[in-house]
Amino acid sequence: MLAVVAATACQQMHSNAPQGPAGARLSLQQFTDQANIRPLTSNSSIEQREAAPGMVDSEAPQDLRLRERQTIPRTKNALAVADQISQIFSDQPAIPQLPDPPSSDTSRPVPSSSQQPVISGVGPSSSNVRTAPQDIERLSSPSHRLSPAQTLGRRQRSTFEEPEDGGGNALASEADASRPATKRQRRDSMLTDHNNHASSSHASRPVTNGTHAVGNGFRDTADSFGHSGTAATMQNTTLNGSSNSAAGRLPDYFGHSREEVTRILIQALDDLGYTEAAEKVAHESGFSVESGDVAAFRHAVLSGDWQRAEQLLCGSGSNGSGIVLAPGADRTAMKFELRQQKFLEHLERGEKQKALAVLRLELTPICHNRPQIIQALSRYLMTSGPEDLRNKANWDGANGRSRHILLSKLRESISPSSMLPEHRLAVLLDCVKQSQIDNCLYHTSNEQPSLYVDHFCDRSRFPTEVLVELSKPASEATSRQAEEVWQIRFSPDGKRLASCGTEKAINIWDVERFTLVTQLEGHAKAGIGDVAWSPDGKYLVSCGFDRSWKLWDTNTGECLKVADTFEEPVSSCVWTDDGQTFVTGSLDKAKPLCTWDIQGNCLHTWTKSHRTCDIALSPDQHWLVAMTEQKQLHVYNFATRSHVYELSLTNRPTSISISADSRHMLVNKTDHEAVLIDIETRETVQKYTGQKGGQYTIRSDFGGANENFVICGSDDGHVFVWHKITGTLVHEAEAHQPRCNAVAWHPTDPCMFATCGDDNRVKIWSYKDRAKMLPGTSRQSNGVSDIRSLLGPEMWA
Amino acid sequence: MGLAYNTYLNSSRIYGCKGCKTHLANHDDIISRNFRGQHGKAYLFNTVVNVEAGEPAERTMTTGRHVVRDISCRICSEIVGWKYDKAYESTERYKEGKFILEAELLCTVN
Repeated sequence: MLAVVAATACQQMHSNAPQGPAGARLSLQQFTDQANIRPLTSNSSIEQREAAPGMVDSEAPQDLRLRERQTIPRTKNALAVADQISQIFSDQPAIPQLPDPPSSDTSRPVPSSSQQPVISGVGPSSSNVRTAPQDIERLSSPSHRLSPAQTLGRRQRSTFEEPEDGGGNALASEADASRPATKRQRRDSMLTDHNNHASSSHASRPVTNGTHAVGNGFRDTADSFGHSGTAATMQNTTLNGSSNSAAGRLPDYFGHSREEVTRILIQALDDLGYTEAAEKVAHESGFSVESGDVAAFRHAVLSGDWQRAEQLLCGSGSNGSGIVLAPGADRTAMKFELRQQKFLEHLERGEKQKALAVLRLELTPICHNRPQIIQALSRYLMTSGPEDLRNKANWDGANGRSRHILLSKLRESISPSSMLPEHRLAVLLDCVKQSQIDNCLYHTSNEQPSLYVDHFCDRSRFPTEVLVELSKPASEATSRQAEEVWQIRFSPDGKRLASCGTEKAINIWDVERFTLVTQLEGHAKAGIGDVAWSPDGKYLVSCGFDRSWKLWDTNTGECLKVADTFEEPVSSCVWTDDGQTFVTGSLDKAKPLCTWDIQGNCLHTWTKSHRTCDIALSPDQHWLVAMTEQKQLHVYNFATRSHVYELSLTNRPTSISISADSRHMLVNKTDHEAVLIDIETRETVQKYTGQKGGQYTIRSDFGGANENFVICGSDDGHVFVWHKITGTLVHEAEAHQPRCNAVAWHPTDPCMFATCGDDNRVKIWSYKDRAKMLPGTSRQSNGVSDIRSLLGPEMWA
Repeated sequence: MGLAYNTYLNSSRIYGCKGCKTHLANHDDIISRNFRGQHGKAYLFNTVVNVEAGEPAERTMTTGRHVVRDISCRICSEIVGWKYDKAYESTERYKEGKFILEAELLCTVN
């Protein structure tokens, strides 16, 4: 009979679900009325029942009551209900059949299938004031027949929430609807302030995740955990503020420590601006982002209470334990930072006597081995006012960012488990995104990946086909054959391409229309080995075998400056990022590296005498690497112009380039391999093989979205593309005959690269469908539709 | 042929091409100074750099029949000497694979 009743109650439950909590409780009332059982408490507020657990007796009828209430929302299966009820009547402690919450095994013989998802999903969020360990402790007295009751009570509560959360979408929308105004307002105002990683995608989360958590039915994925937790928290806290279903909690979150995950989430909620939610989570879970001492320390630093801060630092906190420092942290250094800030603040306020006292009594004793610091600080005593002090000391003032900067500095020395590093969740998400991008084999997209799906680029956009071959007007086609193209470079904005080689002129092509724009004439017929664009694309320096370099204006094509005082050919050139100076490398022993400005003045001649074949400058302007013809690399500190180290290679290198993150250099060698070397540690990080090297210069470079690829020419005429991090060969194609000299990847378009070779051709590569997107119908450049110019006149002779 | 820079030598006395001063050989690499070419004195070297060899031709010299190739400077394509491919006389075998540079066509580079 009870089974029937339970079944009908179930149906009622589900049909009543849209009514929300009122509806749920109502059907429960109906059930209890029907079953002629007096409810435990007059109103169905679960807190009361929870508050007096001792009063819950192990009488059978109450058991039955609770049991039945429990079964209603959870079970969807009348048979399962019947089983449970029969167990009760068989007068066994229901524990064996019921999943025992305190036991930490995650595999539960759950009688109802819907129970587990509830607990795992809602557990951490729908908790009580009590901390988790206490709950588990209390529950783990299996002999006490209170525990099943308590268990039941708690579980019921959690299941009580389930239909409201899981079954009733209306509820979620109600809850959301009741709060969107406040939520959104706070969210909007907070987000304008927060310039942290909470991007606009975060902004839409709270609303959608309310329904998300509901819709998923709490079978959370790692992605939506935080959000479903948040949403569920918000819902649960309005429904039953102090429910205590800690019973249902897993001891760890899918293999991660519950404490770590919760604390990181609380910090993230705080960062996002949901301070109320953060507090509630902290309240419910019992964890806090930082211990009392750490919070007090932070408060002390930010409010300028230096004495208290030092007290806490030295371990005389309220508990006597103080703050736990990270391993290797130096208390004295931290004290120095605090006292320095104190000193500067006194000065700013004009309290020179106090500042002097600080300097004498507090700073000097701890700096006894570094007198120059004391001297520097005492110079600040001579400043005329707060403005002057701020400028001289490069310090933001007490009301500015200086205290926060100080806190950040000190934070590095505090153990990360007591004071979480800033924005920890954002840092972790960044890591995940970056590792997905780094491992993407055909990465051709510049957009940030979404957090919802693992990032994956598909091969269809990877450049594998020759899109167009850059050729000049037909009148010059006859003389093509004897010429070779030795170097190609895209302009920094990607709109133009310069090519140079045995021809006397340097050709500048338009990359969008694939036509010849300008020709820079002026070099003698000896060959031009390298060209370099200035960062703004206005100038171009060409390095010639005629022992001179020339500076050109790329728009007008005129030669602005020449320097021909070299005894040997000029081999290569790099610009600094200000576009005003550049460094040339030459095979002349007396002038291997020279810095010039755009007026043509030689600013500096680097004195280490070696013959430079190629040079590269790191984007952070820190490293300058010069490659000699004697199998050596010389690495200089560009800022100080000092020689840092010399690296000997096993075989002759032919080209060198530096990655965009300024950490690695790519050296192409004649022994058929290219190596990626970490500049600071000098370790070979990765090797790329497959191409052929010979006695001629073959160039390789970085390229692609996120610089995921290494591209290289080859002595056998093929072009090779490898994945930078894993070293796998991604693509190989025949490019030129007899050899492919240089390659260049488009700086802004991840789906295009260019190659050049000894057949006097420059080819642009992209993916197949790109051809349809070309402006104009003809695929040949410069409007030359005659196929003869592509094949070369010798084919038609 | 592709982009290639000259090879540079490292020693106290370097012989280079008279026309373009391209390094050709080290003074220390001389095996014998007892040779004569079309233009007068010539030296036998073990190795020379920055030269390109022409087609092999059989020539009869004072020491007998040899198969030689003319070598020319890489940059200015001026002939600077020759290289022995094969010597028909057994006493002349030591010359095989070695280079002759004519003193008249060289200059000293330091």
